[in-house]
Amino acid sequence: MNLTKMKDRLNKDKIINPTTIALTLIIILLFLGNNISPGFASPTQIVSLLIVASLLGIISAGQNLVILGGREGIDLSVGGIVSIAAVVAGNVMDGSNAGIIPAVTITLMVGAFIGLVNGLGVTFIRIPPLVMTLGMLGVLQGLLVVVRKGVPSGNAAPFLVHFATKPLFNTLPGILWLWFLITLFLIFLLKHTVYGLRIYAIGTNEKAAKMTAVPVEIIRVSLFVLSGMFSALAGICLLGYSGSSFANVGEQYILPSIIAVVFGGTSLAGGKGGYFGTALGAILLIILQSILITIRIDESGRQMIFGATLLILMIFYGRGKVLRS
Amino acid sequence: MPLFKTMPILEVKNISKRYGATTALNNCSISINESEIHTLIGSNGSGKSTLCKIISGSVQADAGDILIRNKISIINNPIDAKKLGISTFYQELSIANHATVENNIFMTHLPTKFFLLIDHKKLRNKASKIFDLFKDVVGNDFSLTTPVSQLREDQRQLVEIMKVLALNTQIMIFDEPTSALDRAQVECFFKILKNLKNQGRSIIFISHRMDEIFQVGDKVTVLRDAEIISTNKLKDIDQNTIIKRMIGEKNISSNHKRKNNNIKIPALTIKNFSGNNFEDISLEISQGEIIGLGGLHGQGQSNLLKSIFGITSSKSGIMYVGQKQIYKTNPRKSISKGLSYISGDRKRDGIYPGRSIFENIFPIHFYKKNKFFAHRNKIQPLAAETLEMLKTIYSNINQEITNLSGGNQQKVVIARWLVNSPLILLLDDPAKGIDLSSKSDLYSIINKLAEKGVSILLYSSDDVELLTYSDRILVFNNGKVSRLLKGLEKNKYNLYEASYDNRN
Amino acid sequence: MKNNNKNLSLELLRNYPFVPSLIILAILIILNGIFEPNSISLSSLTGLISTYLALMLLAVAQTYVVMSSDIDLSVGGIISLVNVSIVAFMDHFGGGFYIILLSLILGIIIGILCGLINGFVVAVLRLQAIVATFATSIFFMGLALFIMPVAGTPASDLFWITYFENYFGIPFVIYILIFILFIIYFLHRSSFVTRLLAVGDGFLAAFQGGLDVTKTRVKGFLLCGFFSALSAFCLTGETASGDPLVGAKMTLLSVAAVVLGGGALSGGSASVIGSMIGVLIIGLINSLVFFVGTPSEWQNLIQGLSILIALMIGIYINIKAQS
Repeated sequence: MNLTKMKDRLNKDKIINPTTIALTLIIILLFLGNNISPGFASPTQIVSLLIVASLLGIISAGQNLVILGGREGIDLSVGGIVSIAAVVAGNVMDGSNAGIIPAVTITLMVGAFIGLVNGLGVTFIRIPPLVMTLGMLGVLQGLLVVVRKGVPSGNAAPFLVHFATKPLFNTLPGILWLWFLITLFLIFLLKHTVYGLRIYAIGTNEKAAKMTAVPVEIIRVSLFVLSGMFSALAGICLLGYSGSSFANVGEQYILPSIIAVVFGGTSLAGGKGGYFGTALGAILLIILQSILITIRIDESGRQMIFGATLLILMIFYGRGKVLRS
Repeated sequence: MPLFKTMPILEVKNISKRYGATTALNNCSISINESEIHTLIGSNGSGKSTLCKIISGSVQADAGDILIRNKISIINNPIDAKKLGISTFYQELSIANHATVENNIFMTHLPTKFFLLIDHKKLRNKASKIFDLFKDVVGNDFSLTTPVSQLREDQRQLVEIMKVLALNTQIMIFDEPTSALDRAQVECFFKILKNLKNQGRSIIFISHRMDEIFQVGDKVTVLRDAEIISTNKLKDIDQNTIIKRMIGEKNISSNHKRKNNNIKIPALTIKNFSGNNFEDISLEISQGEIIGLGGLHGQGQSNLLKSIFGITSSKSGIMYVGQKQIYKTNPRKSISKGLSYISGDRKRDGIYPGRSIFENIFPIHFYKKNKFFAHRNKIQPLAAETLEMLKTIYSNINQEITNLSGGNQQKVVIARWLVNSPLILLLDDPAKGIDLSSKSDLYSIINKLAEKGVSILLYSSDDVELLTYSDRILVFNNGKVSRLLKGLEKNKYNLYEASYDNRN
Repeated sequence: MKNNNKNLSLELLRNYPFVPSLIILAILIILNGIFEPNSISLSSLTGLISTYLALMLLAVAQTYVVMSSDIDLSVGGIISLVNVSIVAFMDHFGGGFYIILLSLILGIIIGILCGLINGFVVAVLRLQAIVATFATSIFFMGLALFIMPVAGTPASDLFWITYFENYFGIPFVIYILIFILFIIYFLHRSSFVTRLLAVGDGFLAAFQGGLDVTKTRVKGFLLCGFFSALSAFCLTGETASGDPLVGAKMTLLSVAAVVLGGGALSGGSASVIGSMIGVLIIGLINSLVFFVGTPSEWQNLIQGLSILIALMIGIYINIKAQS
């Protein structure tokens, strides 16, 4: 009887709060990292890690919204949008601070447009999101080849570089403040606005949502638009972080953005979860990757450990329902 | 034939089951003999389904034993159950949508040759034998090779029944097998059950319909609030006693009189309204009226309601709300015009599972008031008031709705529509599968609303409800209104007669 | 009358869900023929099959997993792992006939083991398939890198010579194709595939109905691993070498092929023939874009767009047919 109770406890995901797990793991990993390589958890290092995490975090924000909307929502094109955004922004701003505002505006519009196409395909032509965004990714990668031949890789404006790498007014780098604001914004949006609650509605029961006057199609399309915009924003930040854009820089963020969402406690089926957990998930992933680089082992060993660790961590997050209740 | 038939085939001893804070079964014991049809009755949430699912292996009990032929048996999953001679008809149906009828019937024991390949000839043969038992009542577009997704609800239930029959086990459990079946299908099914019983089988049968219990059962066990109240032979007990045991000390109010004001202000009018599965329906409902839609299940009543509300489109006809004509409607338009649609299928159409009661109550409010911010503190009192009116049992408004019992979940769904003073209620079997006391709370609210001037179109699969609460009844048959019953004409006989008229 | 026609086409669609994709395939062949008449010769089509045989087998592998409503994003990783393993094996023990045979057996065992890991992780541990198989793919790729840190070890001569040889005038790959079709036919009529599809229609219903859902799903992944290994063999024959990164791009294409072939990612409805046709559609789109004369830097984009449009058309047809 006791063994059954214990098994029940472990099976019930409610007792183990995903946010708590993420925080605990982050702290543990920081300690571990510091032991292996002293200075790993120093303030400058942590800030450095957080900057990289913020790039993933911003992309994961859009991913989070799309997944919450249900109907197997997922956005695999985020990597492509990030890459395109970096090139577009780099070329519009072309190294000058005056070009920042036009660059940001145009880039965000590009991201929104790509998201719009995704959203329309998913909602009105009823293409499964996995397939639609996958196809879109292929298109964007092809577009990148064209664009690369035509234009140079573009240059980040000095202010943008400062924003993404150096402290703002003697505090944290601007990009971290941006991420912080985005986090607050999303938490507020999802809990205290009708729009946010409606996202959960369409994610949990689309039929009921339709019958209670929730504009299901519009919301679903908007989620993809927002994802496109967040990815575009991340692309701009990435440009600032690396100074100029290079080929297909966004592809490495695609699946980690999904994993961050999962580690944040959001179910891939939609309707459950919030952004704070996702942000922690992004931090966790980056720290994990970073530790693996610090341990001087081969690429092959690093990959095997990373893969295995992800699997082990997933056991504590969103596991599927037991068939027998 | 054994000399002593006193040893029960199946014994359930002291079974308990909890889901979090809710007790589903509390120390329940029951025994079933050979050659017996044992019926279970009880309001929703009383534990009947859970008890059956534990016996069939799809739910794990927290405590207690199951004995088969006096031996303690471990049933860890439906496969174990089948080995022990137990097969089950599930209320939610356990069939695969894309697969054909014959594949579904024999899914767990497909006849094979050379170990892996399906022997289609043998399969066809065996399936035909079972299918033929029902061949007069199956309806159109139903053959062994039809994919189950193309079948109607009653046909799908028949497939699930056939699935159980094909397994041919000693113990057969049927959890609400007749909920979508028409009278002819039920009769056919009961004949088969009686045959099986005479062959010595042990059958557990759950139904909400009292007449079915008395028609086919040998024994009846009443459950209430997760406990077994009594087990009796049906010849030793009467309907009223069963009902009293089902609801306990609570009294069902049977006073349904409403103040009739004779001034008729039309609220909703439809003329020659045709659509999916219904044709040429005309009706006019005034403020404060309750019009019932009667007839057998699936004759177009639900489809009519859905079309009026705009969930599905109508093919032709005119609709007026008040004096204004409505063209091409959809749920948003309907809601802004004061219409509400409440479905009894709360899992599919009603609740947002996993979300709080708050989120489940306010969608309509947010839409009507065009709100952007969800000011929880400001609007919570509104919810509390409505939930109170419906006598809903809950701990706090941020509680997850799935923690409530079925009846209370439905009350939340209904509260959703009542929060903003609806003008016209379209009720699509709103009390389906709810316990009796919740049902009576619900209908007393409906009565009160009618007194205040709300117009109500009510479809109920329960004839008694329909007859009790409607001012007039339109009886549906094959998508058309075959008869209008009002005043003294409103009785069970006329209702049945009109329902079966012209049916082939 | 109209109803009868509709019923007939529905019946056709139900029994052969890949018919729409077959039509798209025919159109593409014709289009290809218009722009490059040589492309519809027998040798050209054989060449097409030969080039895409590996992807076709991978699409078959993916189909069996999609049938039970799962997905396997590690198939590319399995290919890489099997590829480097058999090449390393042949390289180490010499390239004789019996060594090759042993290496094939080794490859199949590795494929099945990978499938077992995937099945365990997804069906037994109940981790979500998209992220779990992504994690296992990282693991498999890492393992492949470990076995062969640098690409380029050649496969044994006998291996790839046999692969490209003609026997009795017919290319070896056609024999492989026929053999595969035979296996697929056998599987199609098996009770296993029927149950796989039933599980894909709904885990709870299948469980309540008495099926062993977990075991069935694991077997689906095992089958996927098996066909992924076969795919790796073809790839090894094609490239005649080992490369730990070879499988990466193929994973997502295998999913696209399943959808192009009419398969539903939600489970319960997919056909291996359809998926194979889906691969040929991708191949013909790629060649059509080339024959039309697209400048080289635009080719990727146009190919991507065409595939996306083909996906949209395919799904749109399927939805219209089911309503």
